[in-house]
Amino acid sequence: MNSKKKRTIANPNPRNPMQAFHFLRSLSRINLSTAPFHKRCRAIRRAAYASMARSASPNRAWSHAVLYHLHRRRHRPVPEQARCKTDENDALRRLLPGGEAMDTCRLLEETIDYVQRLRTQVKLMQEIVDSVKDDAVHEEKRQKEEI
Amino acid sequence: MNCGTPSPDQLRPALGLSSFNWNQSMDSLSPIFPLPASGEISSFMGNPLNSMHVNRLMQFPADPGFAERAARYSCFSSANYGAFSGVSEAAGKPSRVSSGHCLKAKESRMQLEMGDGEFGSGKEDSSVTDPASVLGESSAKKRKAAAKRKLKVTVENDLIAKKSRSAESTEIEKDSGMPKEEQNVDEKKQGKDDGTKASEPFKDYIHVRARRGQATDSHSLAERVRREKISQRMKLLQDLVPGCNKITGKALMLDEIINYVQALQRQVEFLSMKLATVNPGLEFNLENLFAKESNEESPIPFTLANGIDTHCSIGQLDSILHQAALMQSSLDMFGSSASQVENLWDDELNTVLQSSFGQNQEIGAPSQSFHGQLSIPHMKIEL
Repeated sequence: MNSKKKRTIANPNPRNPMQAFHFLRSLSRINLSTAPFHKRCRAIRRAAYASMARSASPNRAWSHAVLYHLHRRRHRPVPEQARCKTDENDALRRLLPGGEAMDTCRLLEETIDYVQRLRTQVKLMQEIVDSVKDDAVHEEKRQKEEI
Repeated sequence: MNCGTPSPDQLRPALGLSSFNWNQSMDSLSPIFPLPASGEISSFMGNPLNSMHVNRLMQFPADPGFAERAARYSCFSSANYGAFSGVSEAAGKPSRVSSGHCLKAKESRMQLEMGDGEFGSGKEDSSVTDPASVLGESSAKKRKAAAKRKLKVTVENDLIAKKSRSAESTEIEKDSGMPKEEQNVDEKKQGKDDGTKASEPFKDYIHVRARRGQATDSHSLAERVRREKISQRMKLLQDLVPGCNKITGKALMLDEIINYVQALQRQVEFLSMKLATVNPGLEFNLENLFAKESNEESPIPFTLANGIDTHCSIGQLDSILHQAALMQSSLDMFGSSASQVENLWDDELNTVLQSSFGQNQEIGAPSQSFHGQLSIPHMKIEL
């Protein structure tokens, strides 16, 4: 197999390919049809966040936090360290994975990146759903035609 | 107006020399003052108004401990313009200059600030032309312009350097007999947060130059840098979050951002649920994929893709994905418009997804609800 070619191009969605790649790969790895519904849900969600995190550039703190939590696979409660820094950005910190241990400036940076990737992830998943729906529609049409 | 209890005692020893030559003072000044400053001082020589002040005031630098004293009385400089508001009447009273009690300095500063308003010297962007127009001293302008840069150049955290600059600024202002406004601008830099004496020099690693009319305290400098960084990022976030153009203010923006992130996360959850329900399903459509590939502008050889070590079937999937990615990127290179590219991206995604799901079907449990989808007509390729 030839080596991967990575070109740096002025792509309007530069992260999309990598993110889509990771997501689809992890999706394909999920044993989708046999597992029960809620487990599939969770697995897909995990795959989504994992793909977001993996395609993130390595200096992003939130990606590390996400992957760390995912690899843990245990729902142990996060130790509530007595962080008495009651910031005005508290809510944002809670939202962002790994946002507790950042100062405001860094927090905003990470939020920007996180929001971008979330957006592309949502677009990705929407596309997938749409394509599956389209396939279903077309399949029904064809079946009707055959009949 | 007098700035309150003057402390002439400290300054008088500095003034002990009555017959001080201008040249000598210039020489003594040059080690302390930067060159342009000395140039400006020379320009003031011709000012008859200030000649009486000059000699007396030029004695200051002769005092070796002057810098330290100036450092000690940090409001010294801020008091100067207070002193010089009445400079016309109290001609050449060095005690005025030395009246460096912080409180009184602040009072005088407040009064002078009001006078400043018209000149707008408090504004960062204010050109130095106003005081210059008043006085017509271009050299002072130059020094001010050099002194007030925005966020560049060298750090001002060294205490001695700061104080000596304040000293020199006071010197120069006094010598030129400039109106209070100019001094105010300079002195404000010193006096604003410098209520305490002798702030320790913090070794900052970000080199920032204090802005016009702002404090040069290392704390405030770092804070200002931090604040500007934050505002920069808030602007970026404003572009990202839709519908945030009208909102001004950090708190509201933060609320919007939080809502948006929550909405996106909810959407991811919802879509993952949806995917879980509809997922078992698609047939592998290599032929369609190849058909689509041939329609592409830049047919990339299929073998270009894979460098990932995965399961061979998954590897094929990967190669397809890479193919899609490469096609996408190459198409971008061909300068298609953004919307077209996005369309293309979606189409490629579609085909890729179909192929991937189809393959997954072959690999995994073969519970296929859609059979024989070999010719999918909905391959929209909009180029």
